[in-house]
Amino acid sequence: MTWLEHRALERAASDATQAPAGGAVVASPSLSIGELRTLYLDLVRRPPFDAERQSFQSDVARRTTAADSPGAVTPTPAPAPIELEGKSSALIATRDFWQQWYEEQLYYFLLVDNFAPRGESLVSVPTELAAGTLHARDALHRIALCSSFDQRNPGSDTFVTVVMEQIAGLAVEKNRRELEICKAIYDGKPGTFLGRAGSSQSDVVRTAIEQRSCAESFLAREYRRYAHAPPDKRELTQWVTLFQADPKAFVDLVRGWMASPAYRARLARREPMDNRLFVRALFADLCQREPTPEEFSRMRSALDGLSDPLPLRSVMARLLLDSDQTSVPSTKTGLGEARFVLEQFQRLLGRPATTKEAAVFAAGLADPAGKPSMVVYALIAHPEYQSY
Amino acid sequence: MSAQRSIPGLDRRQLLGGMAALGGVLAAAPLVSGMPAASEERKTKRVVVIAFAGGVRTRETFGSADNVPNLKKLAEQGVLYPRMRSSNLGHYGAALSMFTGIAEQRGIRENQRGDAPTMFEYLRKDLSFSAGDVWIATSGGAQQTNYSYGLNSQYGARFGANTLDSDGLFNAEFRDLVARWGRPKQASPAESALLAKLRSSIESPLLPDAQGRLNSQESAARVEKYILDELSRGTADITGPNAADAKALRTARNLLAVFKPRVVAVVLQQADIAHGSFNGYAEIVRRNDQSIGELVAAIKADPELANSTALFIAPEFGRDKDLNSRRGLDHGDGSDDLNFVSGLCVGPDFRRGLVVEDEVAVVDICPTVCSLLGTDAKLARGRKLPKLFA
Repeated sequence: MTWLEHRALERAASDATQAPAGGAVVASPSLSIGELRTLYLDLVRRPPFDAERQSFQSDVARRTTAADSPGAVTPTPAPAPIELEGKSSALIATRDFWQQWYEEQLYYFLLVDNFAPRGESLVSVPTELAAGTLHARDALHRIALCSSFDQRNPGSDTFVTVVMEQIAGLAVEKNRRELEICKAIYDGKPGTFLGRAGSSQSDVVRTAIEQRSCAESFLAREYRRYAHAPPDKRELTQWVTLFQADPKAFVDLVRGWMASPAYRARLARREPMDNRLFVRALFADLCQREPTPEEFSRMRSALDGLSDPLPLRSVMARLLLDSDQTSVPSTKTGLGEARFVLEQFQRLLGRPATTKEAAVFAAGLADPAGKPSMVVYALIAHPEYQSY
Repeated sequence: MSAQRSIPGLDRRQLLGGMAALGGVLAAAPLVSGMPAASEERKTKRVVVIAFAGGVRTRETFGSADNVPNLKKLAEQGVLYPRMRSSNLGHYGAALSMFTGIAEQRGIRENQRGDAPTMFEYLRKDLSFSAGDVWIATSGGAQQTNYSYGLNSQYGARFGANTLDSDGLFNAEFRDLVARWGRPKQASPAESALLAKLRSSIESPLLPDAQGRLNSQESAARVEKYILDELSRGTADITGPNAADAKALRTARNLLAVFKPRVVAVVLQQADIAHGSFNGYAEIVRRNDQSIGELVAAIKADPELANSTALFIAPEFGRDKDLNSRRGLDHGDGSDDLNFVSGLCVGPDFRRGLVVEDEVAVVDICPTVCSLLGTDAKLARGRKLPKLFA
């Protein structure tokens, strides 16, 4: 059986578990394990830990049992959502989601490593966003006013260029006059930038943040990040209007994107993993934990320095597997080769092994030279693991 | 316009005396003028391109008394272009234009590849250079890995240069992290064979074709080994105000020694400290000159490289004429200090001790390098540098 045939069967099996009983309203189909992995990687930028995946599988099983026994009383609490809309909403409500959203904004502005903001007002941004006491636009405003942003973009020319390009979404080459006005405002001279009076560095930032072009470039960027596709221009215009009227609408926009046909289409294809995602996935999959900030920063920085990071990714996977820091069994005694292989394909590639793959891997693990870490390394060093 | 004059900060007597005394870092130039018809006739087999970037004015290099003694020595042995026009496209776009031969406006923090092919892609595609033949050592982080290749579908990753951000990769923190994990265990032949069997059995029909990847399996293995070895070679221990730039130059030196590549580009960046500190900037210019001197000495000491390597050195653009309110130098006044830089070419096929005052451009470097090695930068808009070849 091929990989594609497996995927179709898995999809059909998933749909079957949601079949309506007695003409009830049709529920959304549950996510497959592969889709769950993709959803986690897109929203909280790591795959689910084993416990989270097992919990999801239990929820799916309980839902299936409940569907098979209509009217049965179940004393256990209602299962967590297992379909795309509910699961994505639940993840978007977590602090983990906002922490990763914040980290991605910092990376966009290259406020990483020595330029990573450390002040309390910045560190608390994810918590405030998750609590709903801060919205995305104000978070961006706070980032652009922090001292790290100033140090990263020294001088009027660099600062103003970055604010115009990266925040206001304006091409400096086509807005030379605005650039010169803005530089004068940065230096404390009164002026009118994009229709608003100002006389300071913070006025420059505030004016840029409030521009419609800022909302447009921000939402287009965010949509691309989550849906892995360019936004429809008409829809983007509507989102910008909503966001400009109430920046808190951003949360609902993301929920809508994740439940959209465009995201369902994204789930059917694979996208390359960036280096940040690879490092987080590696630790989640091998160590069942997130990397420490130091581990993450050093590994990301090293990988980002390569036009082809695949060789170094393989080195990192090997080093980590050869260390004593992973949860991968060190011996195959009592492991059950076939079962272990099938689990690793599900866990690491988000799909079942094909018949051929299962046979080759099980035989390999049974070979005297075969080890559990070799099975895991073969999968992680493969380009398929590095897309999702 | 005169084609020849003395080098600023270096009088004619010094220049001629220096030529006689120093001999040549690289091979003595032929006496016959004119450009050889084909690369086979040239002595140049390798090229090192140094983007002395971060925004560096001629005033602090060839216009200063003693900031860049090594560059001045090189100028005595090569051709200096003091009127090399640059484009104020942001550091990233301007340095990229050196490699594409096209002045492209790019966002200052834009982390996207350029549209045009780079010199590395022309060379790899047309001359069948392998991934190990073409390298870039940088000092400016993730954005600079985009110099490796562009988005033109006729070229792309499969013809890209292996790019290393030396400071991001070879630093004490990453080395120590790797050391905490320990060295990878050596696989036995049986284990290697089994691993290869497992890997080749994975069926991934939705993945892009391997043709689109920069490294073959073999070259990827060499890169893996090089990275692990380089971590223990001392590059990670380099410190000081120009540490990132010095690491890039050291990496280039080691790449030349290990891979004997056909092309190595180095992109420096730290002179940009000038926005806030003129003195800090001048110090970085001095230190980078010293590191370039060490690179040249290493080339000279290697018999395989000494008589076959050409060097191109130029900033991507300059800096303002006057200091800003923080006693630093920005880039935005449109002055000649900003728009013109000094470009230097030294090599066994080039003239020696010549100052060409004709206006040339940073975008001329790409077509000149391609031509020197035997191909044509088809989409570049620059022209070949004039009066260069002996």
